[in-house]
Amino acid sequence: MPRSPARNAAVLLLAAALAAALSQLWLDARQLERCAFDGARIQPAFAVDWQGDAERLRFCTIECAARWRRLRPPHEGPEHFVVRDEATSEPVAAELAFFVRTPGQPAGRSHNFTRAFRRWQDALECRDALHGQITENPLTR
Amino acid sequence: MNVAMVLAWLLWGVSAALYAALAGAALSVALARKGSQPLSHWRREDRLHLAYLLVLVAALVRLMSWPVLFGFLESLVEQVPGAMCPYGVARLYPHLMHQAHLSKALALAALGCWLAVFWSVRPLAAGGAAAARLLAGLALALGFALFEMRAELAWLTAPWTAATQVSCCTTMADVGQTPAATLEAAAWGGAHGRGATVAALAASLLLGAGLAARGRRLGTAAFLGASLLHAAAVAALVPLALGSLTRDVAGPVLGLPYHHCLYELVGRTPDFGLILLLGAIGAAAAFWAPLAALARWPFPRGRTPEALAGAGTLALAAAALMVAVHLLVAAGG
Repeated sequence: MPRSPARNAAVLLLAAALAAALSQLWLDARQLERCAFDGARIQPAFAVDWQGDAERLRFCTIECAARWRRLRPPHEGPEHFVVRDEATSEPVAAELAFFVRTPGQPAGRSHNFTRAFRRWQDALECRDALHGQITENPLTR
Repeated sequence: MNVAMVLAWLLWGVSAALYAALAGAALSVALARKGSQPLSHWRREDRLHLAYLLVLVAALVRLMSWPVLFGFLESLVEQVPGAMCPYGVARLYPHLMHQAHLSKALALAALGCWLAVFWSVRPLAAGGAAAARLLAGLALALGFALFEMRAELAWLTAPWTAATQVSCCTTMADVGQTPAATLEAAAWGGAHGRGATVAALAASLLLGAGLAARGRRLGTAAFLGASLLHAAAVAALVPLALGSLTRDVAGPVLGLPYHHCLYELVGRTPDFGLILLLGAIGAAAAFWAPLAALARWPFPRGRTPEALAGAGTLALAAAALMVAVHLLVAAGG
């Protein structure tokens, strides 16, 4: 059966809409593989997780998570940051971690200079080795 | 030097050879027209068809060079301090990148325009005035193509290893700049361009659909008037749409509210390159249609201009629909 131009156009538009929907679903499914602030690829050893009421985000570094926290609209309700211990790459709650700022010595990404440790002893060793300084939790309000 | 750069050099070399062959074919027709032994009708038509094929292949090769440029920028992201995406790397040489994108768009539009004119005047037979117009158009298109080759050479030979600190849209958000300001988008509608974008899109689609459906009933003068109105609507739409994609679409589609970056939109999504291509074809066809009609003057304009207006409007509608579906699915997710 011969097709009219209008029918061809409708088929093309339908195919375009379907392709766009599939593309967006694919993008949404890969959301946690990229930093929720700047979209960079995440190295698991430096990842920071944020858990809100019903939402979960992942950032590539402490710096990106801190920037996101500064820029976002005020957050109501409980929230929880989990950083990675630089000595073991194990997750540790941000409020229990010790942070060392090492200017000139990036960690994970070129713009991140803050490192997290589970043990106080590891934080002190990092501070001495990289000439950094102990700093307060950059992810607190 | 990496794979993307080798590929870019390869495409540049192939394009240079194609343009040289094209200039040779055009010169042989042009010189024979003025010489004492003019080419036979068939031989002249053969060479013009050869030129048509060469322009078609050259346009495809130059189109391929665009994603290769994005691939090259992406390959340097990890090596440039502060860069988070290809846009960050592009900020090492913003003037070279602006020139590369603008010249690619102009060269592809000019080559496409010549193909449209060829389709339009071909039924007149490739003799006399038709051949002269095709040759003049080819010279103009080659001028744009050479400008693009020069711009490509400029970024290919730039020292990309410069250890310069760059920043991206997200860093600019930190210091309170709007993403619109980062991309000189004041001319693209600024922060309030959404309504203007939708209005320009609606006008472009309505005028284009009207031309495609009713254009055949119009005389050449009326068709040209309506085509120019359509082209004006599309000319307003292009900067507004680019600003809107950057400001309103990139963040929600990528799921990154502070990431207003057209580079990321194209590089990260599987289909935004296609969306931009469809949009570009839709926009360029609005200019090709009146030029294809003019090229046949004073003969009846044939069906090519209406077909171009119809195909361009369909491409533009498909691009707009795809963006709308992306936003709907992103909002639903």
